[in-house]
Amino acid sequence: MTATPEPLKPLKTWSHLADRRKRPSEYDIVSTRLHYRRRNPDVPWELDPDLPMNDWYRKYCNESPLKHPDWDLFQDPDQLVYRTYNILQDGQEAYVGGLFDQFSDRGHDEMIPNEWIETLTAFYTPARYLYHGLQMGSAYVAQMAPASTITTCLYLQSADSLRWVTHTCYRTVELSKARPDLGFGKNERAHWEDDPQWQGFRRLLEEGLVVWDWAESFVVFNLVLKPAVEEALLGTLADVARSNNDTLYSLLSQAQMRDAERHRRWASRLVEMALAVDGNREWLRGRVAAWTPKAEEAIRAYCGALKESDGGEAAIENMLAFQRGLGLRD
Amino acid sequence: MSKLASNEYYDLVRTTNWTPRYVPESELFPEMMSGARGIPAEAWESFDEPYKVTYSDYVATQREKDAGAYSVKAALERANYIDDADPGWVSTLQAHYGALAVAEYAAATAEARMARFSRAPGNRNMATFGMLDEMRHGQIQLFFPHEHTKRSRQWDWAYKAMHTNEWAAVAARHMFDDMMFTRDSVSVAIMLTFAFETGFTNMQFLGLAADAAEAGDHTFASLISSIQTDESRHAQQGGPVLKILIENGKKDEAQKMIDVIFWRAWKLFSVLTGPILDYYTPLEHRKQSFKEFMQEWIIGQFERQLNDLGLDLPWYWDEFIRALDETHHGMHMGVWYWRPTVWWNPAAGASPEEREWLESKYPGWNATFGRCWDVITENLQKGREDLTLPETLPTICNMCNLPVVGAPGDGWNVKDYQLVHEGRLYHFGSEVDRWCFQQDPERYKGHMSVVDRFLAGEIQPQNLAGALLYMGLAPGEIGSDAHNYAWAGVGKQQAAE
Amino acid sequence: MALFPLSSNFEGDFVVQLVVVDDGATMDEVASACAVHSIDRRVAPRPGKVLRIRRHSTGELYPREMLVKNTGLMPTETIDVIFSDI
Repeated sequence: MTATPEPLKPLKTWSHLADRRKRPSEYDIVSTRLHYRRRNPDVPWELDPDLPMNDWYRKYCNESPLKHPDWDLFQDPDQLVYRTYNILQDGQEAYVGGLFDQFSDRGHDEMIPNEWIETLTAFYTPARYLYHGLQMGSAYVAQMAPASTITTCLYLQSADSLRWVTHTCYRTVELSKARPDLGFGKNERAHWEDDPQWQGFRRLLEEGLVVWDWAESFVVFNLVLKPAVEEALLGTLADVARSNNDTLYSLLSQAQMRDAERHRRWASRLVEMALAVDGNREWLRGRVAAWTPKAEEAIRAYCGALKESDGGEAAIENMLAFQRGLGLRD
Repeated sequence: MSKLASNEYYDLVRTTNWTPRYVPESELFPEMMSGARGIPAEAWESFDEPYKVTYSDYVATQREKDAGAYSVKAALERANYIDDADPGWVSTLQAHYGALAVAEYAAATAEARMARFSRAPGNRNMATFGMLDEMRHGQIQLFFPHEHTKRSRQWDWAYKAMHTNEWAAVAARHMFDDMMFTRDSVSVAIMLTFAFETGFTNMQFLGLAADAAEAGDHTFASLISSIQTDESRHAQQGGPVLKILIENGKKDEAQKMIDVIFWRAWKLFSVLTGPILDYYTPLEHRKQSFKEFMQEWIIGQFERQLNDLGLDLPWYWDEFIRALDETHHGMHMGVWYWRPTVWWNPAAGASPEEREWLESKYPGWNATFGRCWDVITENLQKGREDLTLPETLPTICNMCNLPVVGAPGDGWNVKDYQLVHEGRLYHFGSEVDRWCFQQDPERYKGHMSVVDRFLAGEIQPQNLAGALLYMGLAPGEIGSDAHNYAWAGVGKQQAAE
Repeated sequence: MALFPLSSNFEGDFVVQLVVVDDGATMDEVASACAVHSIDRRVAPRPGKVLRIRRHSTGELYPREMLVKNTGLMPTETIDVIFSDI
């Protein structure tokens, strides 16, 4: 090799971060620009270019209708890395575990009205299927998203959903001890599959789970289905729970709402980033408009059947307000 | 969560299959992604993970683990162990991080494939934790080497390698993408978690950790042993999936998947781990030879696991055992001789004392590989470094994407397993590499090795300088002899003159 | 004349290598082109020996003055380059 050029000088950080003025944070160092399948959009995976999975990723990630010149610029507003996520959630789980213990010590389940416990068989414990669906949906968008910083938020969202599944199952077992005659731990699948109050959410979930484009799947789960589910189950049901002295459910819902708010923060940041690119606004608004009616229907079907509730008016309004706040609805 | 024991609610957390109504089951779990192979959901629900963990246990345990590993790092950072470490050990770290850090983050995609598409709820939950585990392994193995970026541009490759077309990165991607990112969730469970993770990664992370501790690199030792404690949780997913496949008459298909990926994993280990353990790790810190590590960590354990599940040893087992004495020596020589094309400084590991160790561990080494090192050593002593640097490209196997190597010298046995498929001539480094291609040519036939691209004119200018540019390697990054030929008695001799 | 890539499996060496020759080159010329990348690099010279070219897949020994284009070899096909007395 003839006149070899000047050797590259060491840098203070990874070369892809070196030209940024600010010192890179731990988040920058360990989270950004990691998806190597993005180095060659024509052939994501280092195998035959026409491999079905190369087609799948070209079609549903690289050629998605939602466009951006560099999705890797996305940053999680909470800047969570694996290390800090565990610190955060270990603390939250200690709190929720403390709630379960304190209310169990006070004989909570023996004090709340019997009629309310029957409502919980129909309106609460089957939710493990719905939350598990969010766990699956988040895992799908995660494996398809065009940037590692987006994918990481979705891995954590999927784990948070499993957290919600776990809380629900914990309570299901406790309630089954208080009222062994109500089929807790046995009838949830039948309620989920057949009861009218769940069919709106089930339909939206199943249809959402077969949306393969990463951006539309993100819209369905993070901008439509999750807000609807959270406002109905962590909002409306929690309100009715309070008026039935079920303070435990109310507090548990608020704890789970912390996760939901975190999901909305990063989803909002992603929408904000997308809206900076021409054409995305129309496409996003179109998708929100196409999917949201089913969510309104789902909320009405659920809250409409929930005695003492407002029929879902507040839940629908809060969902629409969230979308409006993102500029995706008038 | 103390009032209820976790086993009271654990099963409910994995009782989450339902019968879809608004979308056909075949659409909710497309065969390409799910790979249920006609086995009904109820059968998949018998999946039982031996090592159980709940969400609250997970975040608590993992918080403590990171606290431990990160505090060891912080405490030792000021000691600047790296600045006094043997150059061969520094190369070990650079090669390890570059080949694995970003790849482990990517492995979370394989876990996500199972988390969404497995028909077994227990698998979906364990894979959800598996996504977090792999994210941890990627992030922690980026954070730990990052402090060294100020020392040399080669450390940048801990992040950069997997994004380049450097030949070892292409080989790693070809294998990882084949194993875990382009298959259905059942295949991923078997190939990634059973064949690769339970089969091999123990060795890379525990075997190497033993050498690291010996070398006094406690930061790296604590890092990789901490990583390995996660492995048992998500690597366990393959066993129950295999059991269900075998119970439902799919033993042959499962066996073939294991046979393909076990060999592919072996070839990758022969170019990464083999040279590290038998040539880079300083002689006085070598706990065992690569072959001894393989026998202890892989051969013994893997045979037992296959027998436990009623599976057979791969059909090529004898060839695999034979190759333990040969392949990695060839891969090492290839990496060293083509050192400008790697992002670390290969340690030759061929000083007289090291050759004695090699001959003791691999009788006949001097009469085969030793012959080549004799010529190389002589050239260095005559000041003909130019004859120890490449002026052409090695022939690359179209499966493992590594050089086609074999025994040289008196035992010369180098063979190229060729195949014409649909009019194109393919080269394979072994009969088994060719067999892997023939199991599913559609997955591989259109792929171009780095040599294929060079010959197709995709690499310009069409010379070694052009190849380095294509691979993303510039002076300051390209590899050179880790000890500046001291092992060949060059340094001392020049000093004496 | 056209460039013709071959894969050289040189006796005593540890790796097969890409050697680009002219399709009008003789087997002797091919042998010396291959020798450049093995002899005195990793293979000691063997004075008094002649280098012969064999088709790797069949073992067919080519006459020393045969031209590459008349061998029936495919581009990049592997040849053995062996030390021989004649």
